[in-house]
Amino acid sequence: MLDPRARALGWPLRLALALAAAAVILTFGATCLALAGVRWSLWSLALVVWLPGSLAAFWWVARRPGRLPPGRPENESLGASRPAAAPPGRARLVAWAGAVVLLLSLAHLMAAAWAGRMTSPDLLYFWGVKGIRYAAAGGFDLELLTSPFTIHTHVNYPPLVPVLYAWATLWAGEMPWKWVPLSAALWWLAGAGVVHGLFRDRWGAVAGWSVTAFWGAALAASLVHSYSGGNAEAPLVFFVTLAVAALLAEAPGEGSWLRLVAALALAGAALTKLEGWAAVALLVAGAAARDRLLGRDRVLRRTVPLLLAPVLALAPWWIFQLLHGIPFTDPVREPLGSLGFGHAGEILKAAVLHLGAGSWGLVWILGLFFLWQGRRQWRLVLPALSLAGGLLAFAFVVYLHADQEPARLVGWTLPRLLQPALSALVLAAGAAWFQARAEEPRSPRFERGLW
Amino acid sequence: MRTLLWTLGALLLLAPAAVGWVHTALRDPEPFPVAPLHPWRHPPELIEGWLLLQQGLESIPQGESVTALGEDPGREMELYMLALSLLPSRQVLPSTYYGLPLPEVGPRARYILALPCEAAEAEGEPVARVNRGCVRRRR
Repeated sequence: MLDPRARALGWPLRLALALAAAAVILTFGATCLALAGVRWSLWSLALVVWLPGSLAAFWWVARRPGRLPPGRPENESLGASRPAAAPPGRARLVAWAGAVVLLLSLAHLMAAAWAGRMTSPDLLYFWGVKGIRYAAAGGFDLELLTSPFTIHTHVNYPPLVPVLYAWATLWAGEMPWKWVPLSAALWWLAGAGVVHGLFRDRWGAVAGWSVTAFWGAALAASLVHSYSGGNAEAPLVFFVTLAVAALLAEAPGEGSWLRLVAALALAGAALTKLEGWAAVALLVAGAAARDRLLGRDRVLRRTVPLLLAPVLALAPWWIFQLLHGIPFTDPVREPLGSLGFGHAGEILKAAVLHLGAGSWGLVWILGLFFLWQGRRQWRLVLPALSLAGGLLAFAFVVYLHADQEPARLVGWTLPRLLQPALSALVLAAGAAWFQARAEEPRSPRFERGLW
Repeated sequence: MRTLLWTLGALLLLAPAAVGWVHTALRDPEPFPVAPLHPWRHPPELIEGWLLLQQGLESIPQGESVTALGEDPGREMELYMLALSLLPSRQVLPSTYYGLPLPEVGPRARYILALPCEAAEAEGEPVARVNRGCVRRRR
């Protein structure tokens, strides 16, 4: 937040980056405390956020002068190749309409959360239990994590959400069940701040408001539809959105700051859900392929941190699992690799039936339409396309493991599993569309901003 | 005009939510229930179990052991999972786990959550009754 380029980003994006950093640092620090045998309390957890946060701030200030791009004023924002600005009238209309859509989406999300319509049963079955038990135990509750009668809590899942719930429980004194689903609105708001900030900075205000409004409406509908109140889906969508948007917003030769943001976001995704690991692999592969295809320099050097950050963030948790005999695979799930193709047709049929995403499927149709319009930019948006397509394939492989009632499993999990892919598709479409507009020959009409 | 397509698309995405809330305004007698679950969106068994635990909570002293009995193993498992969440300072013991009866674990518990009450009619004395469910104490 101290970097001058960060100061130019606007407060919604800066708050979202602070949320991402705080969640990752808190989880990493809490796991290190558990490894060291130090009991979690409000003070010890506050310290693990404050201390590295302060050190990072000092480091940032110390390195700042030498790292600024040569010849650029300090208050200049990230974007290097944004299109010409739209005229004030058109831009204002898009901004107002976008703000109204976002407010209505937020109202939908919050009302649904408060009405209990989007509460995830998984919050009641295991996410909440872990938070409460960790808060009471002052760390990872080994009784819960090693008992043969608690394997339904998916003891191998990464720790970010339970750590956040434990921290919240320590503050509140008890788990505020009615309020927890509302946390999805917080992650959604942070995601909207990210999309708006990075798209506005790279492609201009009209792009910022247009893509954010579409993303906001799509994800609010999907989060409600897929019962994502209080489980790990909303934070995963946030971290993946941050990583994708940061990678797409990179202009050639100006990627170090955004790479750092993407690495942080990928660490958060990996700490949130196992699907986050798939997202990390797909995004890293997509980013490397994109950079290579576009002839950007230092591809390997710029790709390694994206992979290293999630591995380093997860390392303390893996060590904890190893030391305390917590399984690395899920005892509840079928063994990895036991694929059965007999249900493939049933799985595909069920998948098509459950692609509504709370918007009657319109989000997929419109998203693909926008993407098609900017199809010549496919190389630029390869990281997002790799994630969106790869997650579909990943979901299919996961369902091939199900030996009983695969259609029921698809119906229950697919709408949640596909949300990061949905977010990636919208961002890819937005980046491709507005980059294509920016590269169009500038007619007098374009120069007047009527594009 | 092309730029406005994104905004129009976003407005279109709001349509299903708008239809849903109009339907709620017209038909839902209790749009904001006390529990974090909604009868239109969650199975009645889950809501019933939640209410039994929420309202029967006070009748099970802290530190005591409790188990769950239901009309079938699936209900028992569900009630057990909810009890782990809602009764954090009690020792929750399963009577059934993933369909497997545990005759040496569940019967050790002093308190029983029964849904419906008939699932534990022969055991102990009633302490509380919530709708179709009961909390009972073994002697």
